[in-house]
Amino acid sequence: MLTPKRYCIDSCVWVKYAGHFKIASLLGYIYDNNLLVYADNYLLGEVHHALIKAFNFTISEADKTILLISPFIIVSAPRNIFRLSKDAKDNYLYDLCIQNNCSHLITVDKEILTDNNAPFIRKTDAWLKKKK
Amino acid sequence: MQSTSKIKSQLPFQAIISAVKKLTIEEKQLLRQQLFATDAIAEMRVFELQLKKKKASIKKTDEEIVSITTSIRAKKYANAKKILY
Repeated sequence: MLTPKRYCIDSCVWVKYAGHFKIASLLGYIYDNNLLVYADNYLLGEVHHALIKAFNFTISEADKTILLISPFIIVSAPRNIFRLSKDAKDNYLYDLCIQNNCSHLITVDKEILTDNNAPFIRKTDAWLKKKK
Repeated sequence: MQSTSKIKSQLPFQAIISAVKKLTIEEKQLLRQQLFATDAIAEMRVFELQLKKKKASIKKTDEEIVSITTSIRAKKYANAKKILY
């Protein structure tokens, strides 16, 4: 069995795949690469909200999407401590990664991708796909 | 008195339960993925097919999606800040 890797996937990536009806492929990458993916209720709340707002999902469709991705994530409750991100609103995401010893954050947010002060590796979903 | 076959069928289950209880959260998660991932992915595929049939596909670029999630995050952060301070 491969050594598990600890990752965090940003809400924009979850929304991108769920909104375009391709989340099964993202779950496939998680399974194939033996990833431990961390999230918290705040991040899942963002995904839920964004699916309704951007992709016209009904509440029950967004609920079911969250329910179906939940077996692939470890829901953790980080405390806001480090305040390391350039933008204060992203602090919780950084704390989620740091407090769970995540080696990678998968995001498509250019602001986070270019933040060289982040104490974890930032990569896009395209990179995750190539890993397979 | 319990029959031998009953004892045989109960013992491994109890052993499995006690072994699972000793696992860390991460080990439990990996076990869960090994056991249920294939079924869960299949269920997600069925759900996505239903959504595809029911809803018109909306295409959004990465920038558009980031802008939406960022605005949601900013609003939630502002609300949390109001409550905390």
